[in-house]
Amino acid sequence: MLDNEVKALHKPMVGEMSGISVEASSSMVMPNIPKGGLLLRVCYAGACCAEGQIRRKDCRPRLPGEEIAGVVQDVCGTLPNSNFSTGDHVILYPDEDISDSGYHEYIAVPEVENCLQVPHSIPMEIAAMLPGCGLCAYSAILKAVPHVQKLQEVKACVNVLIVGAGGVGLWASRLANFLIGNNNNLKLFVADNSIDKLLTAQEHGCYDIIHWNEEDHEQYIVERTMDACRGGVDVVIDFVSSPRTVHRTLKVLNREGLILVGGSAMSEVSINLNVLAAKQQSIVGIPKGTVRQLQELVDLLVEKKVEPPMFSVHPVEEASQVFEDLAQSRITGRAILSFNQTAMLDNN
Amino acid sequence: MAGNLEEVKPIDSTSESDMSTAPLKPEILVETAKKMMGREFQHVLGALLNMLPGYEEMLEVKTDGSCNVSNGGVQRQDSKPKGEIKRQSSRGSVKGDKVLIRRKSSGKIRDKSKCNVENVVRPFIVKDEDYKKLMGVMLEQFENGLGKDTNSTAKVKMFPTYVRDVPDGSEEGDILALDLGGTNFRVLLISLNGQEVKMESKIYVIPQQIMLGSGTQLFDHIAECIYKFMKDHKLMDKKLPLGFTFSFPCKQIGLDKAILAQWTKGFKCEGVEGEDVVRLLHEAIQRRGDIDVECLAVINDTVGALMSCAHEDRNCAIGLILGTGTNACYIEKTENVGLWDGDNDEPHQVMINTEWGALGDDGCLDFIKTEYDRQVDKHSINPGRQVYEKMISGMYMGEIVRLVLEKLRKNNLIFQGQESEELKSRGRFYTKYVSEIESDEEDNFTNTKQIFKELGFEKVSDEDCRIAQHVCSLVSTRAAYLASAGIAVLLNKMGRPEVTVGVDGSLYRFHPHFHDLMVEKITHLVNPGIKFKLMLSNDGSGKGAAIVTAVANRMRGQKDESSIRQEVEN
Repeated sequence: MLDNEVKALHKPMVGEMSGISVEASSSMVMPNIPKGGLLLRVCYAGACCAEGQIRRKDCRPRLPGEEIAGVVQDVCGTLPNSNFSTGDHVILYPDEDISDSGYHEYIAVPEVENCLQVPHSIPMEIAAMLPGCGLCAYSAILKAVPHVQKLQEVKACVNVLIVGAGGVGLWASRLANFLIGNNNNLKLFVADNSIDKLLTAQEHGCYDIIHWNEEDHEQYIVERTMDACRGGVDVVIDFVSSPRTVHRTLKVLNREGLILVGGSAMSEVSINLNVLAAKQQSIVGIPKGTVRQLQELVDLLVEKKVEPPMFSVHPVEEASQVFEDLAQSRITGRAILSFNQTAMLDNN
Repeated sequence: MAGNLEEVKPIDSTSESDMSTAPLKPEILVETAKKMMGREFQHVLGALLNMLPGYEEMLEVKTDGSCNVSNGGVQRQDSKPKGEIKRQSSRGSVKGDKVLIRRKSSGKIRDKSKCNVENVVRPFIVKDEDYKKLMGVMLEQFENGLGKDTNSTAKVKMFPTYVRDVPDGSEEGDILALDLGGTNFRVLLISLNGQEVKMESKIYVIPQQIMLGSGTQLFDHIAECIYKFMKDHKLMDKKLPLGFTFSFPCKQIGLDKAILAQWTKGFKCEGVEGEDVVRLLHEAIQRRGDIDVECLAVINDTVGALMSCAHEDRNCAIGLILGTGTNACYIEKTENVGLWDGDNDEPHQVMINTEWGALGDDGCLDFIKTEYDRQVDKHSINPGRQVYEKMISGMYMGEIVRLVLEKLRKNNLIFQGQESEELKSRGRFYTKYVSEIESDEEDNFTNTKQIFKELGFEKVSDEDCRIAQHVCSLVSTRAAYLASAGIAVLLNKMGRPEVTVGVDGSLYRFHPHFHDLMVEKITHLVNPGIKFKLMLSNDGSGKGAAIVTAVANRMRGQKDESSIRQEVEN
């Protein structure tokens, strides 16, 4: 694409739909290729937003965010030719500096180690999901696996509860099925506030769904969870980690249970540490996935060992509306923004 | 208590600066009294103080909740003399007076504001004589519903249920049960064996589009859930009787025939109102063709609560639901039921499903309705209907509190100028917040602060929390007292010397004071000589349906036996 075509196509992105303002510093100029790095043209970016978070005026959805898939535009001359060449499909390992930088058509990538090749057999919109929610889910499941296996040796049935049926929860469901296997001694449950998201989750290989209706009393929610997860819950993967979800999971967690916490709730949670110790339970943060894990994830997709979860693609011009819909749980599955594309693709 | 206050000297404006030497200062007395009584009684104290002249200052101390006597002293020194304040409060808030106060007491808006919080919430404090009047109105409405000629125009329908008696312990067997009453739908497998009850159940979600779609879709969904349950529990080759707890206003024309009068609680499936729901269920089951179940009984959740409680306590004669909606059923003599068309064999009684939620649809409750009730009603899915229910039940309580808090916020009486999209959104103040806020103990506002943080308020003072707690307690207390009035009417009507009331529902189960408030109020309103007990009825919709179905199954078996015997004899 020629430079003047880029300028013509670009549309400014300040959207103020019901108070949501999308990051809008746009770059009309193609940045220089960094020394030893490459220049990437963004094609798809995952839209990441927690339900109900948009309303906070200080919390803006980030563009291009943590999930970037694109095409190599140009490569610094000092890089060996075999690694990257113009036209390669790549994904970017998430980096704080880039994810908040606003709508950029082109991204200068100084560290090529953070760039992973994606074979053309994987559509780019699917590849876009990997660095963010895919990697987070993968990292969480990997962290849970040793604990689950340890319990499977002594327990007849191990119950795993995933809190949050958004993009990352759906990835976790598929990955858990693959890595720990949904055989008779493991039951996977998914809990969420939105019935629509839960119905989608049902098609992603969980044993059962539990409706955590925010309007219901906490005790009622706990009773319902205990009812569905016979024998209590052994491992919780909480992608929300708000005070409410943590207290609910603590009430249903078995002895020696494990809670993996992630998410962007940013609220303080009070827990009684003595009780935790007495019940030999643990709370562990979901680690940030490594580049190697991201590569493993790409390989899993290529070898078709794991199917990606449901997703929908939206043109980036509609970003404001997309984030609004995500906050209202009107979109189930992952939402992906496409840059300079006209086609809308879904896999459902 | 009023007697004690009369003995106390009224506030002498000259001694305000020297609090320590004055004997038994009213505000100290109030603080002590407050510490001695539960929060639910504090608004009673507030009401009393309202009636006594010259005690408006103590009213401020009460809502302030603090013992900061010196603060109060400073404020009073600068504010108008007592006489003018009295004038203001007895006339309500009059513009001229307000302006005067503001000029005199710079920045002392707190004085005026305390009175105004009370003004905003005062409508929720219903006088005792109004509860007595309400009881009279309710009794009249109940009689209208029961009367043969008056039933068609009555708002409170008093539907006979065809359930004649409480269980006697001989009910037994394996029974399937369905429970439809809210956003979730349950299928249960119950094994009855004397006092022993074993239950297995599973909850199936009902998506919004089915709640608002067609009746066929709804019943197809229900039939599918039955199929899934039977498959999971390996029941496909068994023919089990089924009982259906259908918690919506229905006119029953038999134990297994119920015609939906109207949808409530957020449902609006077309093609069901006016139809027999058991027939619709059977049709959906037949459409599937892969399950063999027959529904022998359809009951209301109030009947389920009664039967389930009666299984353990034979004195149970009233079933009460205090949850998303509110309703009650009780045992009435068949001779009092004008529209009774069943047999006149023993026992000469039948359970009546009052559907008392519809009380007030003809305006008979307007004397206690507040502007907040009117707003809630206006924006509900069924305006003008279920008036009594809207003042009590969980589906609306949070919204009432939200409207009050928003009004206080707009008048700068709470939250110090902050605003929140959430608090402005209809339905966003969940009723569970009311229970959580009222569960916070004295001055430890953990729950309250967390809730307002979730609602988008960054800075919430202890004062804000106290006011929020006060509002919640007034609304929930009114709800409890209104329900108590209804129970008292039924207890008086039945005239039985000892009655157990089986209660179910999230409002009753999870609110910290609801039970105590009801016991206190019913005791006050019921005729002397009647002893009553409020008992939590566990899982009435499952257990209750199973018991009724077991009895229906047994009766059908007996009928088949006797008809076979007749044929043989012939």
